[in-house]
Amino acid sequence: MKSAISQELSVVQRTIIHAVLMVFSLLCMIPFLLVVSASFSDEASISEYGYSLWPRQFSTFAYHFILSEPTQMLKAYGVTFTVTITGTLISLIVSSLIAFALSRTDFAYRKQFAFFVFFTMLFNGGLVPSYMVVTQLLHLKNSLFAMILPYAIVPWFVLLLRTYFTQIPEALIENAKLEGAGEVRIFAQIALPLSLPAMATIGLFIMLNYWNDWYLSLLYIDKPTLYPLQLLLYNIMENINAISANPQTQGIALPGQTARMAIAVLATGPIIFAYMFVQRFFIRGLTVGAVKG
Amino acid sequence: MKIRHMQGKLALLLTIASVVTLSACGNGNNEANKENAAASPTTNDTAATTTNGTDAVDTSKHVDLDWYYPGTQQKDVQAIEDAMNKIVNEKINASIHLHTIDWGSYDQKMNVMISTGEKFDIAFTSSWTNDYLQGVSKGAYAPLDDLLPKYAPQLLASMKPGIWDATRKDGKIYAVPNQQIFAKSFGMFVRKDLADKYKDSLPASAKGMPDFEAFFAQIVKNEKGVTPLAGGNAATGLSGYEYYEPIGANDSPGQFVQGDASLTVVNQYERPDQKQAYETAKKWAGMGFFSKDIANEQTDVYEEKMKSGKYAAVAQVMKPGGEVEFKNKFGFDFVQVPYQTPYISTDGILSTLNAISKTSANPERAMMFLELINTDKDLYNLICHGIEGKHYVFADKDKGVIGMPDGVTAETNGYNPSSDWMFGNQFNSYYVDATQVGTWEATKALNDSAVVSPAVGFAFNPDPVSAQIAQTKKVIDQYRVALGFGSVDPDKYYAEFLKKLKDAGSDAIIAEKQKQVDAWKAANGK
Repeated sequence: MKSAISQELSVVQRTIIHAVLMVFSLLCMIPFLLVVSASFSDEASISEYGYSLWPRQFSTFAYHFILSEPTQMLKAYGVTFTVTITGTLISLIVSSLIAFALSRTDFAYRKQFAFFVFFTMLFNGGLVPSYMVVTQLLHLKNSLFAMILPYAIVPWFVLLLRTYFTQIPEALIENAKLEGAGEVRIFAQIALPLSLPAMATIGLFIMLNYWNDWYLSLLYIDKPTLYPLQLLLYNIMENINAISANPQTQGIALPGQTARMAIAVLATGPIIFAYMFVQRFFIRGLTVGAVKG
Repeated sequence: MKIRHMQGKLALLLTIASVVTLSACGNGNNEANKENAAASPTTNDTAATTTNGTDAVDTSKHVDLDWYYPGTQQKDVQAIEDAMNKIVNEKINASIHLHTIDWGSYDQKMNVMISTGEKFDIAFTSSWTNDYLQGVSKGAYAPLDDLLPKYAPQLLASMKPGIWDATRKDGKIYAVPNQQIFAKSFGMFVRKDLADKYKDSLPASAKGMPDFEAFFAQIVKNEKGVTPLAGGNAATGLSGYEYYEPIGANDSPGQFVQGDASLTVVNQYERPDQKQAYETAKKWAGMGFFSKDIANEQTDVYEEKMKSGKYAAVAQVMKPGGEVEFKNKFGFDFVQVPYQTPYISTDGILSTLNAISKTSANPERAMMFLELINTDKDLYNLICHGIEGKHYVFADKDKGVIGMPDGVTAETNGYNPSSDWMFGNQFNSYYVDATQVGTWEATKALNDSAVVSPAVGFAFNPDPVSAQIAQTKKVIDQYRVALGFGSVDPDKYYAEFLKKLKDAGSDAIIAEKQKQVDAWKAANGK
């Protein structure tokens, strides 16, 4: 493929294409660079001159402020990693199990179950009932599972996976059965390996879902030791706003814009690496569900 | 077929089973927590019934009270709670548990707690976070009319009836106002060095914003790089607001003319003084009184400019001691020049309240606690400033001035919530700066002398005209700041503004406001 292109295109054409792509990737990078640069800038210089690609006046005050209590930050990272990893595993297992069952035409209650999953995409009980279920029925307040279970099944991901599973030829499954494989073995050794790109893509989506979430913890977590990263950062920001609006606070130096940017850097940092690991599956996975809606 | 069914069911069972085990884990955690919580407070059942003076108050049973309020999580809050409980336990045989909820979460959290009927005893509520009137209409809070005289007589007596009236909904009191500045008036905060330099052109007190023209002209003429009037988030420019009392949202159409006892709702935007204000604004803009992008200036930009001395003055709500707060915040000395008669409105009182939950198992004891926190100086200052020697030291004990202990700064202090106004009567608080001495007395005097608006206790319910309010807000946002800072020509845009306001439904809002005011007047015999 690559050689085919290089044969067809002249040097000029290739240079143009590369130039366009380089400009495009620069356009993608510059906002992020601005964020990083602003996070290392001096507060006053930002309000005076605006953002610049390189810090006009270098300062790590924003990071000092946010990281003033490193133990809490580390704990929050720990909580977020735990929730993200366990959550992604649980969610992937449960979702793929449902999706596999739903994909099988020989599953008797397929329609009912598919409807059951699909229905929740359109209608849900809303905040109050789900809060009651989590706190009063499951008693999950102030526990890690309060941040994991509510997102364990996202119907949209289940439907995506199901579409992918249906692409596995039925004959393959029939054959495996004839060879004496049980349903679990078919699922684990045939369906899963065949749908690795889909699993990786959905896994990444789920992972981002858990990583970025602060809403569940806002509702269900009171104990600062169980704060995940996003909630901690959100609170730091809101508290900065509240403190600077409070007439009573006495001349505490607070970073404003720069802290916002530093928070963005800290919040996005680690998860960027997840993309690198999953990237090779990602391109194939993006067409999940494109063939059969 | 049958086998397949079985397998389907098995899968389902497995899913359910895993969910159940997971929740069981959660359960275990929770129970452990409960045990911890039960073990920690020192139950003091032997403490006799209190000597509170009131007869027949049975406090023989020890109770726990949960208090929710917004704030920044403080490291040493447990130590404060323990120290407070020594006093609370002895006086009313109860333990208080402090639940500080981060600012960003408070609204949402209280909303779900109230909607789901979760148990708590006391919560901070106000007109700006955990909305008081909404909470009352949801039935979140217990009526206090019977509890107050019986369990909190001193607290009840500490504020005049007009203040309590502001908290009434359908005739009942549902929350305790925290005493602080109730009287509201706009004033100009002027940098002291400039005020001294040009004192001939600066009025000692003014009747309205336009009176500052001569002073601002001096600044433009003589002070290079200093803009006379600041913008910032609260700034609306000139609009004649100083002559009116808002009903509902600050800028929605339909206000009382200040001091009008008949409570007639007028469209403030149509009044001649409004047009006058916009014309003045246009003139001022031409004279260079505002910075160029003032209409869009963000708070942090405004604050940076204040700190670097690029503004000479800013219009803000005044209060005794306000200069000190400004100095702390911006580093310059300021003087306040009033340009509005102080008055007390519902809004000023509803800005900080504590309410007792309807779900509270012990509303009497919660009421007694509120009495205690509002009258017991030691207890109140514990929650405001922490423990003496650890979180603060006395700089001048006689005058009640405190400071940080040696080597402790605002950033490293383990307990420094800086929100006295949230916990009780602020006039009981220690001063954190010697320059503040006397502020509380002055504030109290101001509260006592200020005119209580004849509309106190009236709360506008915007629901019937919420569509019109949203529509008019769009129009107001589009025109008011631009007109108020003279960025556009009033000859052309003022008429257009009024027409669009009418089209958006301002008349319906005003009619609805008048209707509600009349109904309230009839019900309360005003």
